[in-house]
Amino acid sequence: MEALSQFLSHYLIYMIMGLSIVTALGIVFSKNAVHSVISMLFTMVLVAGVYLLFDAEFLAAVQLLVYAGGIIVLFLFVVLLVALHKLENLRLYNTYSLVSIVLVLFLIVILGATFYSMPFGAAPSVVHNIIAGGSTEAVAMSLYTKFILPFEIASVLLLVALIGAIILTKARAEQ
Amino acid sequence: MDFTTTYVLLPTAKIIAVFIVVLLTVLFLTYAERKVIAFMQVRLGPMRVGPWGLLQPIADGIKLFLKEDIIPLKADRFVYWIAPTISIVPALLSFLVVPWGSETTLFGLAKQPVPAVISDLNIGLLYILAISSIGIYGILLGGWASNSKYPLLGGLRSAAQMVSYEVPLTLALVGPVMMANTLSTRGIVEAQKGMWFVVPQILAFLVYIACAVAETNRAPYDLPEAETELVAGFHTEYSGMKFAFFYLAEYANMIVVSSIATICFLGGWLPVPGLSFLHLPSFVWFALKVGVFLFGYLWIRATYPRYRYDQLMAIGWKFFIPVTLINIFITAFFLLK
Repeated sequence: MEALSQFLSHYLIYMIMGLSIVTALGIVFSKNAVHSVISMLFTMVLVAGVYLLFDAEFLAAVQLLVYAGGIIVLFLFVVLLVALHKLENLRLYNTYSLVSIVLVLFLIVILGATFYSMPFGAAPSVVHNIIAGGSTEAVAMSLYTKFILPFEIASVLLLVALIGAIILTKARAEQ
Repeated sequence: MDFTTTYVLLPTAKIIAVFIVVLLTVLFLTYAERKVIAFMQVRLGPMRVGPWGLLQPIADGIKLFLKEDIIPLKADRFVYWIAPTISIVPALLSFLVVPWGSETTLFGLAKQPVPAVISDLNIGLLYILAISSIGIYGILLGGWASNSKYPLLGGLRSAAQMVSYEVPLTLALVGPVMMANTLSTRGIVEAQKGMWFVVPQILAFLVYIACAVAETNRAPYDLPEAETELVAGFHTEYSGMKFAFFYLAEYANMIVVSSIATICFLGGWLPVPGLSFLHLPSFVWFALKVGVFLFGYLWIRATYPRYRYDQLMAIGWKFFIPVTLINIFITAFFLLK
């Protein structure tokens, strides 16, 4: 029975990964910006699913909460506030196709090289039983002990960006 | 217990049970809402269908089923179709981690008692927050896809409100989590055996109630569907079953936030202190506490006028968030001592 569940969860992972690639292509190839954002939402949810199947349930929840629940809502806000019908005939997309093909190929080479040079260990044992263990404590322990300095620096950087954004918009409003 | 029972039969039975109970509760919550508000306004409410109008929600359901499904001519058909689905699915998925009792045999289906929750995830509370943050898209996309002014304004308002109130809502729940030292919903309830968290976390509790009402777009925070200015907000153009889905999602979300309040502050399925001699089953205690919250929702709706939009944003960002942060500091101070 353990073998059956292992088998099933492996196929589930391939299915979710395949779907996430399909929705990721949807982001790029949608003509309508709102459809792109919806594809992006589905991609984020599916990526959370991949995390979940690799036993990183805390990461999955944070992925949903931050990316799907927070950042893409802001994306959607911006897209909805732009009058899309005025931009339809402007051909905003696919304008630099030659340059972008070169850039994408370059990116693929770099990512592929990184992927092959990575010292991956043994494949993580895929366990569907997310009820037993707990990755929340593990994440907290490493974040607040070993990686406390990068963590604090990242939070201060985000704070600086936040204050900067507020000051920039306030200055414009007062003019 | 063998594999099939543990991983297939029991979860399926639990899912079906929870689904039926939630849908029935939603059905009769609409009836209760009309009756309670009618009582508070010295009216009778629905009286025609069945005795005391008890069959009114079923009549409403049949009406919505048979109603013509109108799609505006220039609507984005795909997004228009998918928006109600996006709003109902997270609302129902949240019930995955809501423990409705201590242990159950599901009326004799299981040989020995099993935990009365579909799945006791170790990220339980975080899971509910993550899933329910997806529900915003249903409203936002529904408002946009209708290709009409009022729904778009209603959708934008609603999304701004829900994104803003998600922050104090989450921060208010940090206090109970710190005291229980776990995110598992069952763990949080079991940590309250000595004292309900409503006593030490009274500040968080009050903020949570206010934010929960705002998060579900209910009066007095029902700006997204303010009839006087926005017709019906994001679902102005919706009819038939699509409208019913939005309606269902709103009421299911009310039950979810009431359940979270019960779990985190009022001791979940634990009996009321001093009344444990009654020996009621644990799910009755849970249902009673959730019922009190749902009644509170209706009471608030019948009592308070609607907030103005700037007041709503000001109280969310300038009052609730600082209060919840102070509450976290106080809790941490007493836990460290």
